[in-house]
Amino acid sequence: MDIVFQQIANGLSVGMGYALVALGLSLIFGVLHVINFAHGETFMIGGLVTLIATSLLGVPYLLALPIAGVAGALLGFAINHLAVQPLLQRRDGGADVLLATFAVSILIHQAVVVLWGPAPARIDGLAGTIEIGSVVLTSQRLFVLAVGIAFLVALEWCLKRTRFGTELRAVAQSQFAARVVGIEVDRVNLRTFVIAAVIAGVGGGLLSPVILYSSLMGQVVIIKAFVVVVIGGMGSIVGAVVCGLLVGLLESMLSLVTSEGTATAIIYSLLLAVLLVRPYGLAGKKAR
Amino acid sequence: MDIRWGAAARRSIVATAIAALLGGLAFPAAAQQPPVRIGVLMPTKSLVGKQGQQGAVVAAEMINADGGILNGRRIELVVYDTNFQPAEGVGAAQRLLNQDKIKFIAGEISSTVALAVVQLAQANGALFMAAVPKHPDVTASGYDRVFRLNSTTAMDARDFDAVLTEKVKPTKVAVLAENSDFGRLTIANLRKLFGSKVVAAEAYDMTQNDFSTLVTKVKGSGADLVCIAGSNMEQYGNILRLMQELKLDAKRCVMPGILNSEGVRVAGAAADNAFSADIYVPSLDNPLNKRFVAAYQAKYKETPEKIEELGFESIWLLAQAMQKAGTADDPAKVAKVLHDNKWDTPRGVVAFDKNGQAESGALINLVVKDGKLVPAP
Amino acid sequence: MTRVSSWPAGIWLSAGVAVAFLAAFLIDSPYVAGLLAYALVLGMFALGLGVTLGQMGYVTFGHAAFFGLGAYAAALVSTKFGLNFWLMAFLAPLPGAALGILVGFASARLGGAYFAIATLTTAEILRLIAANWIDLTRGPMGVLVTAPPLPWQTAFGWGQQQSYLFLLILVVTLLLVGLRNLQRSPLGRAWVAVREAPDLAESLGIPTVRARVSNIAISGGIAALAGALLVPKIFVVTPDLLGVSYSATGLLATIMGGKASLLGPLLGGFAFAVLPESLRFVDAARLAIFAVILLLVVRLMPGGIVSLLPGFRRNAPAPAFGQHKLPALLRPDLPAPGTDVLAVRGLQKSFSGLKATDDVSFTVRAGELVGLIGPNGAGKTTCFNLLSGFTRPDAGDVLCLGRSIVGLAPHQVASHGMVRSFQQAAICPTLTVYENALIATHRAAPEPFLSALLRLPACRRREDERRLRAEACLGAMDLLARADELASALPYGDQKLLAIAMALAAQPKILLLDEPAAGLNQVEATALAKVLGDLRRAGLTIVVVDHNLKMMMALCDRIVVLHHGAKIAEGTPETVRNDAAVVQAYFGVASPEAVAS
Repeated sequence: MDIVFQQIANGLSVGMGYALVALGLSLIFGVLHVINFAHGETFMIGGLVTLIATSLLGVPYLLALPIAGVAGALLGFAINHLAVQPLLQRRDGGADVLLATFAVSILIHQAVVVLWGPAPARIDGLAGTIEIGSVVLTSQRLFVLAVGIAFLVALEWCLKRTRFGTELRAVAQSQFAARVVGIEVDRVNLRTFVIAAVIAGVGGGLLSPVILYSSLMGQVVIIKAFVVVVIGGMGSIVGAVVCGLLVGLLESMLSLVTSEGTATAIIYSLLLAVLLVRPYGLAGKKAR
Repeated sequence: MDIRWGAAARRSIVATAIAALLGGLAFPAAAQQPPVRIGVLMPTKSLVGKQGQQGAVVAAEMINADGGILNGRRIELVVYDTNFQPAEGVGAAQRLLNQDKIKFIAGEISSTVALAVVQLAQANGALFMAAVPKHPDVTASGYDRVFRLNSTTAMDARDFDAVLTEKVKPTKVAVLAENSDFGRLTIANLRKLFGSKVVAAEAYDMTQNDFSTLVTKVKGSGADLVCIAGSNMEQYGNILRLMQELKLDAKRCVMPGILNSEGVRVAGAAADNAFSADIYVPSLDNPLNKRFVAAYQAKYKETPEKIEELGFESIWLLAQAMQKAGTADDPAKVAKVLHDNKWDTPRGVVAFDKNGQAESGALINLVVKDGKLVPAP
Repeated sequence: MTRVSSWPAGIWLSAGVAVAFLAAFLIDSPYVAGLLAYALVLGMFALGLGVTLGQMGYVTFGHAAFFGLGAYAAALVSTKFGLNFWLMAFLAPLPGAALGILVGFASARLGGAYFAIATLTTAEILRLIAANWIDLTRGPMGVLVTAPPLPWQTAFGWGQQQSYLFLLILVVTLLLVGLRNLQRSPLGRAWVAVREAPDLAESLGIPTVRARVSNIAISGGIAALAGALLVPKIFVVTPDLLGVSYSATGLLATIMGGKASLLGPLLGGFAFAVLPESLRFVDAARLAIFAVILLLVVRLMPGGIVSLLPGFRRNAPAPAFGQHKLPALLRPDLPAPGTDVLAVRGLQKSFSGLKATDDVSFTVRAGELVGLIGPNGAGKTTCFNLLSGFTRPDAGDVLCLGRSIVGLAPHQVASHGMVRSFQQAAICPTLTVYENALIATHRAAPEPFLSALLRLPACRRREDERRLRAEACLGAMDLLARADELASALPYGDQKLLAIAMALAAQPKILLLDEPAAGLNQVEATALAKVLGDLRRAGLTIVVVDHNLKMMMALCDRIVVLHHGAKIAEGTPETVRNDAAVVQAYFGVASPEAVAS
């Protein structure tokens, strides 16, 4: 039984990582109605920047996280400018953005492999553990959960209580109507993109002490993030977080009875099953 | 006579002058011997591939510093990246054989790639000196010009099984192995050795990132010895770290041939007291090793370990054999010389069996103390 | 100027065989032969991908699923049962096509990004299976395959690589000819229609689900064949053949070369295989460079390399002009006057509680021109959607010539003879006017698959008939002069005429026209009314929805008036014009004098 509790603890923290990436994907999809395939690499860059800051520059971990966020923001700005904004107005815009962001994701990954190196590395996060019975919770994992929830709360507050949040929701519902009432849609798009990228960047910094930074971590997480977003519903923020945690939990529970590869395959099959029954995800909207 | 130097005439004079100068450069005063070219296949984009490549480079430099082989001919390495993909490996090997006209191929880390290259070498009569691949099939093709320097799992078990049963004497054994032939062979071997004492045997995917589930399962099994069989240092480093984090109280064993300083670094303090064994350790006391370690440290500012050493050996042995055979163009002769003789290497004296498998004596037991990998007392 | 793709099949095949022999005899270096062979395999993979990405417009991130499946199938069957590898390789398209059929069905339900994600997930599942089912696939260690020498290796004294290259050139030639034949058949045009305007395709009687399934099955089969034919080059079949790297390679090659063309993907495959060899000095950054190229291509040159070459616009040759009479366009077996062509009984439809159609019943007899009018929101388009199968009614029945068509797919309804047009002119924007009309001839003269693939003489005859028919329909709408223009470049009024021309080409027994006069000025509306009148006189049954009351009153035999989803009046234009309920509905007052006429 202890194993089960330990697994729940493990699963929730990894699941929060998926949720943070899925959150950004969902946000971008809800507002711009496109898929940003390079989102996983933003997550990886966040981890890399945290690694560089803590190991090369000697910055304390807690300070390195906001730096990772800034790196994410810069990357988000670049991706939006290069691969998203110019293509949105095209007839085949959705497909073109998919392809362009796919190209960008390869580019980022290869650039990191060539310039930094492919070797994974360890980052020391928060030290210390908390023991509840025989279940061991590392402070880092708890921190991940706490920050994730904080992001969710902040985002919800932003959406419901600020002017920008209202503009964002307006653009999400109808770009045309938003333009008519004078909202600068391009600016809202950019800011949404950057917010999503910041969350992903910080997420990378948060997860690296748990699962080890690796140049491949973006590729691994993007598909799982897709699973989360599709099941949780494209454009639904709470859905992304809840489903992220659920997918993490499901994965760790399945791993108790079968190998991790099989557990992953089962989760992917779940995605396909959901899609075939509800082509727009459980709570989602039509993709472009 | 009115000599008019028109623009065209001036141009052709300048051109002729340049051509003469360049022509002169192309035919230097003293005729030089062509270099001996050896092909090197390595997954150069990865850490282990770079390590192997660097070992090979040091070997070439040492040989050239000694005056080269076969009357002053320098060793020149032609290195291609194989990136752990058989398709790339075959392409690179074909390039070496057909474009570069090189008949001696050395190196490689991945058994999958090595197996493909063996086929190609056999079809072309080339000599392949595999450095790091561990899979038994690499030397099972019957081709007499394939050699393999690393030890196989069976050879490791010969020495290491006794360490486990006689010195460690566990009551419950757990195995965490990667999902490859190496990992499965290890699990099978440990089951044979310990029977019902094996309380957990978990395989993990080669690309797996998160091991908390696995380690939790092992913790739940109550094992007092955990054996890790994974060639990927990031993965076993992560496992060791998690074992410490989750407070798994057990002796930690890394199967022979895998543990190195990089893995210890990844694991951090969690690696302390983990034990293993290998065919090479940089502190070995023989003149060639001292020279090798010094040369490697001078060039790369790091201490070489097994992978670097095997990369070194793959070039060093080929060069020695070519020298002894008196030829750098006949793979058959060089292969025969390799088979028929014993060779001095940084890890000791090496001899090849009839299948091309290198033998270098007993494994060296290793333990991690204060973040350093040292021979066990 | 004749373009390469319009040469007859015979020339392609002979050229292919000639090139194959030349290559095998002349290329001495096994390295060069092997490199060209690899280029052809990648090109083949890209060709397969292009069938789905370029022809049908579906982005797929997981095409390596087919590629790896073909490789594994051929490798496993030949090693486990000791069969000749080459024979097994040619059976490899079967599992690829089978998976393609499944994915094809999925594509009918999933659009755009979801489809891409689903294909990626499928490939990943297969890769995990291959990596973990050690007993079957030996996992990451892979399956070692030694292919036996090909028969012509000894016959002609070639090297192993040259024989391999010979085979690949032949296979690629056959694939190109087959694909080209399919492209120029109704099936290929159906794929394009699915890409550009799936609803339009359905309304013209094109079975879109079948088209999707056939497309991805063919695409998957070709990709699987490519995967199987890669095996002799790499010796070991490993799970990464199913991985993202190969999917990405195929995608890059197809897009870089030019996804919508036939030769483009092949060029892309060549570039992808050959460039790395010459870019060896930047080997480390190879994939990064390709990613940059892909980004540039998507941003600046969506048509790929091929679009840079002159004269590569995909265009059916323009037909000769001639005289076309309307009656000749209509099918000979039109329903006899007096028969009930369309019987609507008690049709009901609600959307989330809002009653869009409330117990609507009316009958349309052969040769009638019936108008359906009503204020905005009356439910006229909903009614059309219910009649044509795009929406399913909650209750009630629709009988077309005595047969109930409720629950049938739109293309089946069209097959029964009921063809509709759309409120927003539905056309295929990136095709020419002529190509649009040609697509519409699908239902009237479908083509069996094998016949299309081989382009038998009977097929060519039918194709000529289709061309004539498309031409005739365009001529009837006076659009022949603009036959080679892009449909999207037509003025709106002409686009609507094109839509009617296409509906005619589908050989309807009854035409449902949804606001054909919307957006037309008075002159164009009059011309349209004349055409409709001519059609009716020739015996075609027509139901028209429109707001142009002047035209409707002048044109229609009978008018049905809808308001808030229910029928409030039915009768001759005179009757309806003076009906109090109708006046009330339009103007809110019951005075007949207030009605503008």
